[in-house]
Amino acid sequence: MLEQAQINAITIYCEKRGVKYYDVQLELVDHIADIIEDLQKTNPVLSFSEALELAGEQFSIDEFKYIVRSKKDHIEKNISRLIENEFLTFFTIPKIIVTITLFFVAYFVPIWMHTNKALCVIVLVLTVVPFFFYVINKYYLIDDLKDKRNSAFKLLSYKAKSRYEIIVMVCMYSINIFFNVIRVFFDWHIKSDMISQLILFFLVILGILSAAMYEVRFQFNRKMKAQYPKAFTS
Amino acid sequence: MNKSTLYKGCLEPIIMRLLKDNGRMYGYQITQMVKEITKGELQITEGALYPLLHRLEEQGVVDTEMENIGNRVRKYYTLTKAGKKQTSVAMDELKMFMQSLNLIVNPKLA
Repeated sequence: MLEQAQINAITIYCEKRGVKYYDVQLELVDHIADIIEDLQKTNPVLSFSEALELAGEQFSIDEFKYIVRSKKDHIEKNISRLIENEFLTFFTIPKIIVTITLFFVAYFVPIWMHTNKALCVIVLVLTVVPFFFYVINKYYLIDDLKDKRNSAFKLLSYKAKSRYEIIVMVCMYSINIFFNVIRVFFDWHIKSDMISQLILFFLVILGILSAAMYEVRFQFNRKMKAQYPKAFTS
Repeated sequence: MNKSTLYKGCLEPIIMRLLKDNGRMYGYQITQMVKEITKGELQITEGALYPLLHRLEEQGVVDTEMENIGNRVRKYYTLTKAGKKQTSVAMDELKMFMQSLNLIVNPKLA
């Protein structure tokens, strides 16, 4: 069985050949370690560095690149599927009921109060809700999050997730900004109730989607920790 | 023609069959078993094996689990329920293909 220093040497060998991420390296490191162990079994006088060179010769540079590319594609597709699934499971029946209730509250309160002050309060609440979800995830469910990611282990999965998250957040907040611009324009110049209600509808949806994104991030962290425990330190 | 080119299309059913017979396996074990069974005639390169395993995982044909082996982590592959069904279909298709190939190689059998 190879020692930790030897496994580290294989990891560095992989990094030099363009395999930079831990979730991609993991399988290749094990594969090369297996080849080295077999080589040393058949030829016990073979040193580790000689065996590593021989094992490395079995892989061409293109092969490393091809494996990394295929793994990258696989991770990206997997992350999208995982995020979509988590996103869908977030919308359970109680949450849908809360969403519909929130929508009706947002719809009727301004009508009852005959004022746009209610609109401002609701917008404020909807802005704060995702923040609360974040706080709850971060501080109250601390058992699951107290293990921080070890910066020595770069994960391609996180890179793929961040890219996905940025796209979703940019889309969501672009819509939010767009509707706020409309709100300001119509509220100040036209005072259209219909537009206000339409904006409220989208703001409710955006608030809930933002909360869902925090939940997705939390579940994603949990899954990554279960899959790559070594990449997290306690 | 290169031998590996001939085998290329058959890799998927071969791997699925091995997983069906052996339960869970890891990458290096698959390459060694194929080499052993075919007496060195068929050698799967890492560049062909891992992209294929990743694709099968993506399609839900195989499931994976990680295990600590000494100082390193090993990734094991197992067939999913759907994967087991697909293996039978893939094996039937492979047999049909072999029969057709045999007819081309030995036209007298037709």
